[in-house]
Amino acid sequence: MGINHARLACSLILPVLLALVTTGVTATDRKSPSAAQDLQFGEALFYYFQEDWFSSIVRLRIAQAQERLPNHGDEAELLLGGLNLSYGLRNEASEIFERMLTDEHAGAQTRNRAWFYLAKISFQRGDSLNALQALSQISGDMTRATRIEAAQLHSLLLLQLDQNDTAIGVLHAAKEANTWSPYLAYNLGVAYIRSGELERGAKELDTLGELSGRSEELRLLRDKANLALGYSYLKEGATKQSRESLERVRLQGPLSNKALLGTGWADAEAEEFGRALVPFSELGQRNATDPAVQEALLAMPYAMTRMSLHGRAVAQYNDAIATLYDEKDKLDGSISAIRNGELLEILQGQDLRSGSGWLQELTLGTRSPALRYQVTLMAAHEFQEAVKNYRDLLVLHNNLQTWAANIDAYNDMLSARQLRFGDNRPAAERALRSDDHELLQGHHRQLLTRLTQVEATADPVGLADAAQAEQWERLQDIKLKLAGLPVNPGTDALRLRQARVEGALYWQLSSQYKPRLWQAERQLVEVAGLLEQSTQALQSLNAASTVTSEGFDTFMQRIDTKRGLIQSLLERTEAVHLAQGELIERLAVNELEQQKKRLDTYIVQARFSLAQTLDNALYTGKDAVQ
Amino acid sequence: MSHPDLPERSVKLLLAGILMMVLAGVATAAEPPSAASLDEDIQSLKQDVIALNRDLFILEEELLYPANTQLAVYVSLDVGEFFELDSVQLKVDDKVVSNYLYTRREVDALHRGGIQRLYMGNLKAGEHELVAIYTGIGPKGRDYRRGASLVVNKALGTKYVELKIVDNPSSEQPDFSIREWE
Repeated sequence: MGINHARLACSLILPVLLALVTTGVTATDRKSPSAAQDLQFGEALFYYFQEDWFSSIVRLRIAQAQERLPNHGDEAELLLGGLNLSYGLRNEASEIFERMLTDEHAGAQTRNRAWFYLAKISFQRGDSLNALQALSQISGDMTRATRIEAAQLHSLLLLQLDQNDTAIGVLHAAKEANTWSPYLAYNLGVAYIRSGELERGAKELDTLGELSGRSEELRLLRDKANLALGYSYLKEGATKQSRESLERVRLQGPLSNKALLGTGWADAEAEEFGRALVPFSELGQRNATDPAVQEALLAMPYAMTRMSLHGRAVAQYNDAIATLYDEKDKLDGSISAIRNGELLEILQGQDLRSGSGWLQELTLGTRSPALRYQVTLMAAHEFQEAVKNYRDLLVLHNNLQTWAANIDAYNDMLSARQLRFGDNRPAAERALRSDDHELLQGHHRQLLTRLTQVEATADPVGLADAAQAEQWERLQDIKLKLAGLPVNPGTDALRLRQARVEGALYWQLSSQYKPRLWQAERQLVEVAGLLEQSTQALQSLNAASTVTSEGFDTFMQRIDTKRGLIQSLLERTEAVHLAQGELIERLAVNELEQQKKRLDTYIVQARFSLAQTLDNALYTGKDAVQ
Repeated sequence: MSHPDLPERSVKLLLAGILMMVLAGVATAAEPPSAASLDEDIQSLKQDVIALNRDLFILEEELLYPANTQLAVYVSLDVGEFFELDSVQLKVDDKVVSNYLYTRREVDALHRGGIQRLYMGNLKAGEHELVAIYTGIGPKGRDYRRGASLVVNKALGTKYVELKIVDNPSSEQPDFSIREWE
């Protein structure tokens, strides 16, 4: 009997691909910008590399406002656009990239990057045509990252529009340009399969399926390739190859349930129902919140029926029905917990400092039924985005509350400073008015001139101390008087004595000349330093007195304005936060209601199959109840 | 012999279930208008809070650290093969002004080219001594503690200083330097 797996395999490939390509783009997005040549650019990168988009954007905006990015103008703008996009600010990001494209001085690399980001924004908004149009503008010089990411986005968009052959063309062009990545290889494999070329698609996916898997990201890609390949083979009825591919998927990985289900179906397709029971039974032991597990609960008795194990099949159907009802009760419990606000309570209690692992940390320390279906809920992009925004709003709220406290402190500080400034102002103004500083500078200049003269004439008398100078003066006076006296032995003896004393004093001054000259020079340098300091102090005082006296009022005004703004933003944040919480609850409940509907369908199917199995057992004369 | 219709029917029903599950994954459900307008509100709010933060940080800087007396000290890492940073202590004129213990994410961000602003404060004009003491794991996994110092001449205008940790392949040791920025 042939099982029609065609629809199954075909439908499974696309969602796997969609999830995958998104991951691929994010991964290459995190490539490092060039080394920082401006400290403030490096500071923005410090937060960027910690995935703290908010702080990184704020730091870049400050650096731009203070004109501190002389070496990273274009790059900062590009980074800012990318950061805005990562932070969910699509409108702002779009404006930045459009502005960059109007800049005549922007280089080809920058323009191509801007076009890529614009395409990505359109893609996120669900506008495929605009995204394709933006991608068509990319040409010429571009970085390897841009080339790879553009090819990824382009192929994804084309696959979404079912233009598989065009997607193959884009991917081949990327391969020929030596711009290749495992993600592009995956897309090519999927594109081939979707266009009906299973063999060529299998070749691409096979290569990926045998990757060594250096990182978790690559291991996940390998699993996805094997899963897509396995289901594609299943669709074509190639059960052996299907099993081989599906068995390469990690047993404990996130895709293991789907792989086990596929393996079971491959065995069933090959009419090996006993063998099919192994993966189905393994799945049956797993968490029944997963649709693949729920599916296996019904697949198991189906296989048993095919093996004519009607008794076991009946028991298994009964167990499955009980489990599905139990699951339905649990869904009701979860819906009720979410409606009672438990989900929002958990989200509010999360550690806002944790990095990208916050999603995993969410379930730590809680067994709330509100989180029982977290994995299923988070798989929906819309729900995940809503939760991310909710978390961002919590961060914004904390940020605003911190500023609200700080701004009051600044206000008090400014008042105290203004008071102190008022007290010191008369003295400061006196200092600024006084001409003491000019007098001192003049005196220093005179001393410097005198010292230069002394040094030029090498006159030791010029460096005499006060006592020596007085002695020298007296000796010169005596010399002058002696010169006016008649020459006789008496006056000659006096002249001789004066000359001896003068000579002795001169000798003393000469011997002290060099150390005194060195000391005088050093002292004048010190005085010059002190005068320079006092010049700077006066300049500071001058600047402070003009800036500060006017500045106090300006500062007060700025603080008042910002205080009002903080309050109004806090109110807005609270209102939006509340609305976002309601949206999250609505999305979660809708999703769980869908799950309930699916369970209802399964229960009907199980009951129907049970009745038919019983009927069949009676028809074939076997005791089904045994 | 089993009933010929039974398995076929069951499987079709099962497949219908799978298909539903799979399609739920691909369906690009139209966003309810309230969700779209809420997203616009959040975007606008985020932008306003970013602008407010920019203005408040600038106000804070002008108020607390006027340009005339401002000293800003940054930390950067280049390579870091011979040294795994744990903490930095910064002293200005023998007074401890900052003690910073790094998280793994911060060290990783430094390794990838980020530059951290470690300290911002005020200094009078004139000469001052800056001493940075680094602790971490050095070559061969040993505890490592090293210092670097620099005398800076603070004039009017902001003084930017970078504490730089660079690998020295010839000595297989980390080099710690302090650099003044113009």
